[in-house]
Amino acid sequence: MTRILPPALDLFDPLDRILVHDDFNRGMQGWTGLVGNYEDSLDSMLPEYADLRDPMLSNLTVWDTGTDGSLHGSYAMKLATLPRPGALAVAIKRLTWRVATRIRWESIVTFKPEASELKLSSTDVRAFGILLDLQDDDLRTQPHRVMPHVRYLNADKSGRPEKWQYKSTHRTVHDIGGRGETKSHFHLGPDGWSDLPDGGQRLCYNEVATKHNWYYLRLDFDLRDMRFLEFQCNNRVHACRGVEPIRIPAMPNLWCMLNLAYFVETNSSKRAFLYVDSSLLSTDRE
Amino acid sequence: MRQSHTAVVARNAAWNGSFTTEPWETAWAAEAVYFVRILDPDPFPIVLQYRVEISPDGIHWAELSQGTFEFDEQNPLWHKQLKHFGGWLRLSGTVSSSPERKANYRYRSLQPIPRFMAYLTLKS
Repeated sequence: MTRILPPALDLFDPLDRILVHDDFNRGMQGWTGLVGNYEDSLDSMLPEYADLRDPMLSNLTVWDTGTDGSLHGSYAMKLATLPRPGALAVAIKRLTWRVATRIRWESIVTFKPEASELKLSSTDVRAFGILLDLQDDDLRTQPHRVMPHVRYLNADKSGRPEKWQYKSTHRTVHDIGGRGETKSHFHLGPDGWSDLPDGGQRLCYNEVATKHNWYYLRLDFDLRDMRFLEFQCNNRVHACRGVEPIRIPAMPNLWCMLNLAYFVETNSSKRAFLYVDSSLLSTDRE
Repeated sequence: MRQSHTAVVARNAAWNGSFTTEPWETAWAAEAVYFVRILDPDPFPIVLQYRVEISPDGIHWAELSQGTFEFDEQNPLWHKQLKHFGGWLRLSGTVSSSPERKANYRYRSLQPIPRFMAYLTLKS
């Protein structure tokens, strides 16, 4: 059956049940910053989490042409890093799932460095990406926490790889504080990324740091057996065969977790920005 | 219903000497309040001289207002209310010990660096 959708929805291809459609002209809608776990003191947080920056509403104003606005109005969600190589910004939205089925997460995004120099600046953003943070339900035998990560590695020390990557390995899970109640592991470090098969893709950077061209992203993931199905960016669709998410033993208080997150990382001493015009999460109707 | 948003612009920040918070986009908001809270207040005052700065582009900054907060155990939380700030805000300034605090720590090797939470509360 063909659904008739309003224009802001019609650029998506949702599955049968739309869970959330976040158009940032309506505010932040549950998207917030990611803070590391802590117990008793913020000093107990893993150091990598201490300087993650929180998302804000932006009208994409630049010094040379003024306000761009977003794709469907004035505002987008903006992630902005600190001006320090390797710094990250993260935005997260937290839900729980009610039926283990196929989910589809679609996004309209763009990325740029801060336009603080009159240069091309195309290697100033290191990477941007998306991740899901999921856990099986509490009745499942051998339950897992599963964290599919996909990023676009735009630039690094070697130049401009311009390719999609995924992460299936993880660092040590640490106990936080002294009571054995809280755990934490940092999963956004530069280590452990693998190339998505045939994952090279040159995107439309568009000449200077103040021009924003929007991209379409789609991630299909199956909650039944916690595996990747497909990933799409614009005209390129990846089947994700053999692509594994991070899997760790289930944690004591995350049952049926369904978290969505965007992240961006800078490659230079300039702030890196990821803008999200809108986000749509849909599932099969059970 | 009016939109509102509280941004944490500094979390457990060790400010000693000069500091600047990251730029925050405020184009949608008509009023704002900066809150600054010291996490472990000291019996002797810690002085924060601040500047509220505005910008047309998030890169170039001009002063909107300035003032002084004095943190101690009785006054761990301060605020500054703002209007007519355009599309960007940031808070900068310097943190220093009051003469009383310097005297109290004169014979100790370690003078604790104060830690702060800073919030920007926006409303349309």
